[in-house]
Amino acid sequence: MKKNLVKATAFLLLSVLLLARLNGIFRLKRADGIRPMEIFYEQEKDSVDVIFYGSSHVYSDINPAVLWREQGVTSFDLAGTLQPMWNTYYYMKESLKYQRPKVMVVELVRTIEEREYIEEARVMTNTFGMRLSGEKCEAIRVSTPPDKQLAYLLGYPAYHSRYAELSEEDFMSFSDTAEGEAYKGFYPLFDTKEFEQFNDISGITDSRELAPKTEEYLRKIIALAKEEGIPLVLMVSPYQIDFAEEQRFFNRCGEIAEENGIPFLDFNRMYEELELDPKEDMAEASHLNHRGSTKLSAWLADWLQEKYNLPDRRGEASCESWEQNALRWEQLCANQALREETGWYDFLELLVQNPNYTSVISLNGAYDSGEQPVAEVLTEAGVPLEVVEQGGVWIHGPRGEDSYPGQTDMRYHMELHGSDLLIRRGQTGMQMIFDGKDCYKVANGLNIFVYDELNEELVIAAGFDAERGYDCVW
Amino acid sequence: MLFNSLQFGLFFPIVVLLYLIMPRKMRCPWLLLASYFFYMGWNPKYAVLILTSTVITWLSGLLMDKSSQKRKKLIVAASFVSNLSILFLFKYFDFMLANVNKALSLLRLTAVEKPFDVLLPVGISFYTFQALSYTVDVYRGTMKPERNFLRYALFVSFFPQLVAGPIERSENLLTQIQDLPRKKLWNYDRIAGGLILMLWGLFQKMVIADRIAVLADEIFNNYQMHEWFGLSVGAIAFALQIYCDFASYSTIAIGAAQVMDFRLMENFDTPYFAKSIPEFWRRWHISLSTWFRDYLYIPLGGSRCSKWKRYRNLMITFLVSGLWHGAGWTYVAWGGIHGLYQVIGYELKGLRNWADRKLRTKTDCLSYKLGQVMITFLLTDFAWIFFRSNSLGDAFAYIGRMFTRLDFWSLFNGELYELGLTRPEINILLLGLLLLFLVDLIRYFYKERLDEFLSGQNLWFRWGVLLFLIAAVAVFGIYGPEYDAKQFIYFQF
Repeated sequence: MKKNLVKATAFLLLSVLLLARLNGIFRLKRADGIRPMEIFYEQEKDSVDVIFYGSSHVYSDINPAVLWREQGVTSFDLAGTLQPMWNTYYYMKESLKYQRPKVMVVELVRTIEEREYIEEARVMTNTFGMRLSGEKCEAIRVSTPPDKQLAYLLGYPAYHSRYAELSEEDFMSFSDTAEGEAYKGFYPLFDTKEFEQFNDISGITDSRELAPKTEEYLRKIIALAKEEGIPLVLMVSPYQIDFAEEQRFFNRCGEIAEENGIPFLDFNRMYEELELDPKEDMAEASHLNHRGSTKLSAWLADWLQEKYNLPDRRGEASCESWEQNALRWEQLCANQALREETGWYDFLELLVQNPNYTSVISLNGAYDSGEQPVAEVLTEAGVPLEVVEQGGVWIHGPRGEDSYPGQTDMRYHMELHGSDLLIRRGQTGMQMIFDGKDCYKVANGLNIFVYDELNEELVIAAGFDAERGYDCVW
Repeated sequence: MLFNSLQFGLFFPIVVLLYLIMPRKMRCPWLLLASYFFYMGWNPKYAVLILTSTVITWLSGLLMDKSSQKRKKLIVAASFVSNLSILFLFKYFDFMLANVNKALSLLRLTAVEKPFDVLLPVGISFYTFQALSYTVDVYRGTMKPERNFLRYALFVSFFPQLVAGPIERSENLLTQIQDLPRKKLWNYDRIAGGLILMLWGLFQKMVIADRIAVLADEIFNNYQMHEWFGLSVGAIAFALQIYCDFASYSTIAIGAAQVMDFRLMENFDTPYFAKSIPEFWRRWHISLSTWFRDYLYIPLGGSRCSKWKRYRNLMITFLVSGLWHGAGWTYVAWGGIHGLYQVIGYELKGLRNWADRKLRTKTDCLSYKLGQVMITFLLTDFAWIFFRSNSLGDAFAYIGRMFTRLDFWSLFNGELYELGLTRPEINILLLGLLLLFLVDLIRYFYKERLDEFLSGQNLWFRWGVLLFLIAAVAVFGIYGPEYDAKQFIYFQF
């Protein structure tokens, strides 16, 4: 009997371990809703002074790194894609168990939601990041029809069939990545879509009733803030509104805010105040890009600090991760600038100035056409003379430097946070292989590989073609 | 609730754990309560029907006790008429009305309107047959009438086999229920064996049957889009689907019952390894085949009569069996084809033997037996086309295309991966089928079920197999809300 009990327990334990591992692999690791919640739990207790809640208009438009740099405000974007008000309400309730913010800001674009239940994928992104709790059960209960609630509560049944789309990321834990604790929920967009101008909605002053479920939860949000005694701010992110009906919903939100004496910031009426440029600052019609989000975040930092007298927490040990986040952000901006640079001279300048880059500069074939001062600039950049004279490879970065002059046989391997960089002379000539892909772009010219050690990502593998006036080739 | 539902995953452990620890006298009422809860998971109203059948057959058993032979006959007849009337009303009324209206339209008469809408109650054919077998057993004197209503009600509604069999006999299941307070429930090997069977059943159902169903459904529902290769794959896919689906349900039922110390009869015994159609029927849905043998074929005269009467009895039995499977001409045709196979088989037996002698065919070698197995499979598979097709017309058209649209290029052009399942899904399916084949081989040659086979192996092998099955069901089982990666693509903000 005793032996059987031990056997049964051991087998049960093995099965549980197996299923737990499978769950770890298959669970969704989406940055647009699940991860922000998971990482939120990892924040130092009571370290977040401002929490921004809402949909993608929060996590793409409001950058906690900028709030930190501007005013030393600790903030977090706790948002999810297409998040309806009922999920925002439960995100708020859940977050208040772990943090005591000085201000809560709710973004209202999804008050346009008129459906009783939204797409299943969004139910997952807006609830699966939550720990098992009464709030999570309630969030799932109001988000999905009864027949699917048990599956969503368990989570695994909803995503177990992802086996065909698994990636390397699924086998890593989130804290293994560079983002880790320093992630503050922001999900920047680096694209730019030009608009001639922002649509003028100043003429739309009437309002439209919100859908009953949406209004019910907006009022619950207001009641929750009152109950908790935490100031609430309601806002609408700036975007290119195509439908007057949407603005009417927001006008209704403004009326509800006024009824309750809550500040209401409709940024679609404040483009000028934000100094937003429709040609430069939009990623697409709905979201700001990295430049636009910096403007909005800086404005919010100043406004919040002034109105709520928020403490400057720069220098506090418990807020170190915000500093890390800001450094990461600045590095991401630098990476973007490098990606946008097409002139070889400025490219090299940006590259050598940045201490976070591990780079490989490979001078291939007739790399110096004699038309431009390539050799001088390379020497100034620090490339060893023999490499400049004979061609070859120069590896440089925080890990040290190494050079392989001449076009002789060579083989160089470097491991970059689990990825492999291999430079070798193959049968068809030189090869620079990163994660299985050849990064050489030009036969005669400069081949440059740049890796960001801080964010642990490949920035760019570019070539400058000597035969074509050093045109940039990606 | 279905065996492969999350609800059952909660229901079963709770029921079993309480069953194992509760006072002995409470076991029967507890299982009865659990069975009705299980059944009412589909529709609470169905409970009225099963209760009606239970009361009728229980009372007829009691009334038959100490009755004259003549009165007994009357009671049996009344029990059959009332139970079959309920079955007819819920399962066959619509079918009959549709046929009457078809006949009326041929005669250019006004169609009869449907007087009411009924939903087919789950498992009605199974428990009706089980309850009726009790009536006949009491009539024949092979079973004493059960006086305790709760025990009898549990016999009719015992949840593991309630909705998809095996259709139990009173002399097996009812006697075990009568013995319930004396059962010693704590037996590690028995409980573990039962759980292993349930796990294997879940694998068959969730990994194989529900995956191959996608293929079969696509091909049968759009047969006009496919040619011989696709249609052949469809026919084979359906043969495997219905086997895995049906057998898995029985396996889970047998396993679940075993966990609670009930032995249910075997229902599927490697049917596709049968070497003849009669053997197929000794291996396929055994509890139903023996039901029809005992309560229809033998009472009709069985095979101890003239050749023509025997053929008549066979045809009647198989046509009724077809109708039992579903209210539609496709099912009747399927049953009829199986009856004909057997009649023709008997008729050609002499000719076959003669040919074997003349050709000096070795009949006791692997190739001959393999040939028999393959021919039997092809014959049963041909009949399945009728069973699965949406109408008789579709079945004939399907077969017509299968034999006329011959294009052997489809063997090489990767068409297999365009029949409804992606390449990874096909690969998972093939691996699943390979495992099924191995388990069936063990069953066929060693006469051992998976639990019995594994209990004779070393611990590391046994646990390895079980953990593999757990992982396979957890990952590759078809369950939960459909995951659609495309939905995550950011269409609108």
